This record gives sequence, C-alpha cells and structure tokens, in this order.
Amino acid sequence: MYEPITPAGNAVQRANPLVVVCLVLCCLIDGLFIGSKYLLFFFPTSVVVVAVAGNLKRYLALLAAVMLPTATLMFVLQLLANEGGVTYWHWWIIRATELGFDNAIHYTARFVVIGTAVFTLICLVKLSRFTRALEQCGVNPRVTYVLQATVLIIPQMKKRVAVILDAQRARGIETDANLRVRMKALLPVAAPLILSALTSVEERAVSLEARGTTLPGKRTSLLQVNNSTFDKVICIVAVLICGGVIIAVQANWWMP
Amino acid sequence: MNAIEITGLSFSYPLANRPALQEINLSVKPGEWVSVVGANGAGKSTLAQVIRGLVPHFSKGDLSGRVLVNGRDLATLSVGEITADVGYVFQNPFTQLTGVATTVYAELSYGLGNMGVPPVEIRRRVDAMLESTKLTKLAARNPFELSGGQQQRVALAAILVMEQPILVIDEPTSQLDPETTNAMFELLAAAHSAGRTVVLIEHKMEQVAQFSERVIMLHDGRLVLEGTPEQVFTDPQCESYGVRLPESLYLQRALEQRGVLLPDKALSVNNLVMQLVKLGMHPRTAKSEPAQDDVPVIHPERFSTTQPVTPALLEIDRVTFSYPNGVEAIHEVSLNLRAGESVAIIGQNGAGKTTLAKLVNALLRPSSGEVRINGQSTAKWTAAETARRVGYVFQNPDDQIFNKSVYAEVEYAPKRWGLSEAEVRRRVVDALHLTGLTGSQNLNPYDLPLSVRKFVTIASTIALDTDMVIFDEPTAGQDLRGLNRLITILRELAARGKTVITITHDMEFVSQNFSRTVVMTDRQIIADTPTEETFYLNEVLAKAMLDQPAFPELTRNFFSNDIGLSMNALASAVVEQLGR
Ligand SMILES: Nc1ncnc2c1ncn2[C@@H]1O[C@H](COP(=O)(O)OP(=O)(O)OP(=O)(O)O)[C@@H](O)[C@H]1O
Ligand SMILES: [Mg+2]
Repeated sequence: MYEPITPAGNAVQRANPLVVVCLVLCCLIDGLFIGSKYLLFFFPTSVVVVAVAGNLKRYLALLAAVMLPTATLMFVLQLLANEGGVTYWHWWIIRATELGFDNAIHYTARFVVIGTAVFTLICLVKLSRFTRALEQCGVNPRVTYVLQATVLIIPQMKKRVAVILDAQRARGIETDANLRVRMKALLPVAAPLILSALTSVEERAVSLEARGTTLPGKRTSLLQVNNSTFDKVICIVAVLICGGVIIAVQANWWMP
Repeated sequence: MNAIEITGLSFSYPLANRPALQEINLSVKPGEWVSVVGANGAGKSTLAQVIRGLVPHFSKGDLSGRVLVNGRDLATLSVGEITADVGYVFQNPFTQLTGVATTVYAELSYGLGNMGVPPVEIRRRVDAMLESTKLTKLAARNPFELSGGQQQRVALAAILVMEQPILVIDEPTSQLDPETTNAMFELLAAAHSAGRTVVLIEHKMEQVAQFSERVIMLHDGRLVLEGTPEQVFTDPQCESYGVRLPESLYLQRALEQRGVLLPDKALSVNNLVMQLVKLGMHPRTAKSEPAQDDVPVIHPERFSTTQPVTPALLEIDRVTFSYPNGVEAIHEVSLNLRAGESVAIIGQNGAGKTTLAKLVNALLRPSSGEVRINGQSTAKWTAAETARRVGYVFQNPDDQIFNKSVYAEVEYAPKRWGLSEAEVRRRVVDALHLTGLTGSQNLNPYDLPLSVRKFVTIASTIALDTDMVIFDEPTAGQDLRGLNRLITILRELAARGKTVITITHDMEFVSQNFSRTVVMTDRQIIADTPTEETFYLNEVLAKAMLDQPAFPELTRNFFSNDIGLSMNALASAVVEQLGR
C-alpha cells in the first residue's frame, strides 16, 4: 500500500519552508552588505545544509552549470573593464589593475551571494510545501495557485521543448548532432512553441478549474507543514540579527 | 426540480460560420443517465462545456437561452461555484492532469483538498477510488510518466473521487482497453445507482445502449433524436447522422440480408443470441466446449514458412527497454514484419505498445536487443535517419503538432529534407487529400477538434513517404466517418506497398481490417496469429484485457471456432441449423 505522506525526515527536511526562506533571505541581505568575506561563512554553510537535506548533487550541478561560468565571466569582464592603481599584469592592450581587481571582487562576490541564496532555496524548498505553508498562514489559495503556476512554467516549457524535438526527430529532422543543429531545429518553432505553451496554459487552467482550484471556501491537504512558535521566534531573531548587522556595517562600527 | 434544465440554448464561437449549438431544449432529472451521441463536430463537447459553465465563462462566444443546474441559473454563478455541483471530465485525456501533483495519489487528493474535505476522509476516498479504478499499483508514479490509457484513467478517477451530484463526462474511455472500458462503465453505473446524475458523451454504442436511460443525438448543433436507446438506435434516421450503431445491429442486418429474419431489433449480442435460440438455434452446451484453448503462441517464423519468402522489412530482435524512472516497459520482445504487410497491435493499457513503436522509430533506444530495418541495425543510425524509414503517428497528436497551419505542418518535414518544391507540393497535396483535410489546409491545427488533429498528424506522416508507418491509436474518438477515412488510408497505403502497424483498442476495427494481429500484455507479445484466430483465443484475450468483437461473441454461442470471421460462413451455418 502506498503511503502518501512521506514520514518526517531530519530537521532540515522537516523545517517550515517559510522559516527556511526567511533565514536564507536574511543571509542574502547581510551578504550584500558585507561582501566577499561573508562568503567564507555563507557558502560552506549552504553546502552543509543542502547536503543534510539530501540534495547536494543537484546543488553542485547547478553551481557548476550556472554559477561557475557566469561568475568567472563576470570576474574577468570587471577585472578588465576598470583600470586604475597598481598594474598587476598586462598583455598587449589587456591590463589587470588594482582597481579592476577590487571591482571584480566586489561585484562578483555579491553575485555569488545572490546565486548561492537562490540555488540554496531551489534545493531546500519544495514548492508544494511552500505553498501549503502559505495557505496555512491564511494566504488566499488563488495567490498560492498563481505562484505555483508561475514556478511551473519553466519546467513545462522544458518539457514542451523536448516534445517538439521528438516530434521533429520522428519526422527525420536531425536535432541532436550538436548545438547548431539543435538551434536549427528549434528556431523555426520558437514562436509556435510559445503559442502552444499558451494554449496548454489555457487547457491546464480548465483542468485545474475542474478540480475546484477556484472553489470558494477553505482548503485542506494531506500535507501539513508544522508551524510552531519556535519557528516564529527563529524568524524574528534572524531578522533582528540581520538588521543589526546592516546597522553595524553602515555605521562603520564594525567592518569584517 | 430537474438536475439540468436547458431552454432555447444557442451558442456560437467567435468567428465560426455557423452556431455550435442551436435551440437546444433538454431537461435531465436527478439521478438520470443521459448519453449524448453524434458525429464529430456535432456540438457534444460544447454542450458539456455549457453545462459545466466553461462556455461562456471561459471560452467566449454568443450564448442565448437559459441553463439551470440544480435550479440555479449558470449565468449568475462563477465557474468555481459550479464545481461543487458538477464534476467534469473533458475530452482530451492528455491535458487533464493538473501539473501540480507529482504522484497519482496527490493528483487524486488535490480536488478533495480544494473542496475542504478533512484529511482522514481524503485518504479514505482516494484509497477506495484507486482500488476501484485499479490504480493502486501506480499510486506513487508521476502522472506524466504513464501510458495514455493510464493517464485517462487517472483523470476520470480524479473527478469521480470528488463525488459531485452531477457528472458530465466527455469520452472517458477513448484510450482504454476493452476490459478497462467495461470496468469504468461499471464504476459510472455504481455512481449512477448511488443517485448521481450522469451526462455522458461516448462513441462506444454498445455501452451507451447497455447503460443509458435516455439517448440524445446531436447533429450540426441541433438535437435531432431523443428517446430510449432502443428508440434512438432503431430510428431509420439514426445512421444518417454519422454515428456507429451497436455492433449487434450490423450483425442482425447482415443476417437478414442472408435470409435470417429476426422479430426484434437486437441492441446487444446477448439479445441477438436469445432471439436466435427462440427461432430454434441450439446453443452450445458446456460439454461441447472444446478443452480450454491451448493454442500456442504462434511465432512470426510461421509466416515466413507458410508465405512465399520475402525478406523481413522490420526485425525486432529480443528487445528490452526500461524508462529512466526504472519502469521496464518492454521485455525480450521479438517481432518480424515483411514488406507490404499490415498488422494490428492490441493489448491492455500500459502493455508497452507505444513504447515498442517508439523503439522501432528510434525515439527510444533498446536497453538490450536490436531493431533491424532491411537487415540493418538501427543502432548505427540517428533517430532522424531511422525516422526517414519509419514514420510514427503519436498517440497524442498535440505532441506532434507545432506549426501554425495545417499546410505548414504537413509541409514542414519534406521541405526541411530539401526535396524539390514540386515534390514537396505533390506530397502535401496528396497527403491532405487522403486525409480529407484539403479544405482545412489554411486553418490553425489547434482550432480543429482532437479527432481531426489526429488526421493532421497522419497527413504529416504520410507526406514523409516512408516504407513503414506506425499509427498509435488512430481510432480513438473517431466517429463513423473518421473510421471509414482511416480504412481508406490503410487500403491506400497497402496499395502503395507500405508496411503498416496500427495500434488500437477498437476490436471491431481490428477484426474487420487486419489479417494479422499481435497481442501484447505486460511488456511482452503473447500472441501473433491470423486475426480470425486471435479473437477465439479466450485465454489470451482475458490476459490482455481484451474483448471479443461482436461477431465471435455471437458465433461462440453456437459454433466452434472454424467459422472464423466470415459472415457468409455464419449465415449459412445458421440457415442450415434452422433448416434442419
Ligand atoms: N515517459 C514514461 N516514463 C516512465 N514510464 C513510462 C513512460 N511512458 C510509459 N511508461 C510506462 O511504461 C509502460 C508501458 O507504457 P506504454 O505507453 O508503452 O503502454 P501502451 O501499451 O501504449 O498503453 P496504452 O494502451 O495505455 O497507450 C507502462 O507501465 C507505463 O506506465
Ligand atoms: Mg500507448
């Protein structure tokens, strides 16, 4: 017999997603104020927490595929775009200077902070639990529905791309030899792709309608997110610390 | 108070040149079962959407007249409020999954949660519904990783579990195997006897005749016939509206043409049998039943020995395949097809038919084993190269269509292949003509009904002019005209020497149009025989959740298997027995 409610896992898996979001956002804001050194704390912590949640593989894959290349590119561009101060290294018209280096560190660190936060959230928070937690706090189900639908657009587009590539393959059109071939197969159908995504959004709306998504009245669910006073306390403390750090940094009382 | 009360209803879609519904008057009593029949495009689905309040709240258009559901005027209700009264299963089985659930179980509980049903009750109801729809084993699966028929069953279960007093159900069994179809009808019958009102749109007339209390026929948006199943199906006008009759009526007519006259119209094979017995036919007794048919699975080799030896065009050699989620869908399957041969593949939902087709077409690659075409392994070719030899018409047409007009859709591949303009044009014109789409070539495929969209994908595959073509469920949701069109296409492809595989759940269609039938169940081929033998293999049929078509269902009551599927043989045997 299938058990629909997955038994409670460890503390991270059980945690109220709203608390998780709150904590990560606090970390993110602090990081934007503090800068590069903050990453020495934030990044390893995120790795450990995601690992405890059992999603490390996906996290690392996201970092490697998205963050590493973008951050590197950003660093190099910033490094070369600004000139001033001591020259560390130069070649032909390319010059890496002190100012460039500082700028590169400054912006790239903040970018990495944002990236770390976003990917951590992706790997820690399950959409269904998050929307359920919102509902339990009394958020209107229509709002959570719109949220859910929006987040689902991307995976659905991805699925649609796969379907269209299959449809072309089945008609003898090369699609997977290399990126150029793939683009050639996809470009002519980009417009219809968006069109059919819209039609399927409409059809999906009907199917959701048939299941009473817009039914007035209260919702129930097999999924219950625990919602304790302790959670509230954690959130309040986190927000206070976050505020404190910002004030400290702004007032130059303390500069890590 | 009536459950549904419709007066003077007319509706036109924007830009349409004629109304989809005209002057409809209909009242449905609480607890009544009304079936709506009619050709494709007659307005059945629009009527269902009106009752569900989606038209005009959702799909815009001009509506006049009044629609009351449980005494409340729909014009004054929101779409959401109507959900409490009306459960609606709509026609397209592939777009009914909400996408917000990652398991079948969650898919079923979602609607109950929206209705505010307490969790304990949700579990009780979902568990019971999974049990009665035989989905318990699939409860943990992702609903998008199911076969077509399994998905349709989930969609139906997800609505039935909500237990609204009125059910509006649009072709709920188009992708289901015969036994599952029967099981779903039993389920609807149970809901009906629990006092729920059923409005059903269905092409399977045997079941319509068996279950409904009242049948209404729509034609070009008008309600043209109304009455008991008997009154409607025996009306001389009935056939002219383009619907199939219950198969027993065709049998009766064929017998009459051969001089066997029966007093009453037979709406079911059982009734036909009873009347024949009354005339003096002797039903076979249990004693004369042959020992349980132990006909062995007949392997394809048999065909190459009894037929002149032509080399196999397609050889599937001990192929096994598992999906990335670990589900093994095909297990050690072997099958040979000669050039120019036309075979049907039948078998239960989830048996692996679609998977097999995709393996031949190289959309999927075998985990082990080999597919050979003209003696060459497809492993060496890219999917696209294989597809130039094997055309595949997907089970879900919407997975295949991505162009803005029918013409562009059919033209797309030949043009991309770099054929000359004249050749492309010739192929497109030919394919459109064969599929009856010439008049619709400038339309957007998505403005056509699902049944016609299927023909768009058939046209785009015919235009490839491949040696081999695979049709996946082309019969689903087709009316009489669509079925006849399909038969024409199959004949034409045979005449052109093409090798054709047709996957279908329509047993009548198979028994009347194919000489060789392959039966699949549970990842394997369990029979591969001449069609006239297939439908007498009781054990095989039971295992693969199949039904006998009307013809063998009738003959097995009186004769042994050697009648095959020949109407003449049956008629003369009947005449002979009655003459004695
Ligand atoms: N995309 C997928 N991912 C994982 N499993 C799948 C997928 N599609 C189908 N399956 C599973 O593989 C098995 C065979 O499915 P397949 O679609 O080949 O069945 P079928 O015979 O075509 O059934 P139907 O008559 O319902 O169309 C089933 O158990 C099904 O649940
Ligand atoms: Mg299938």
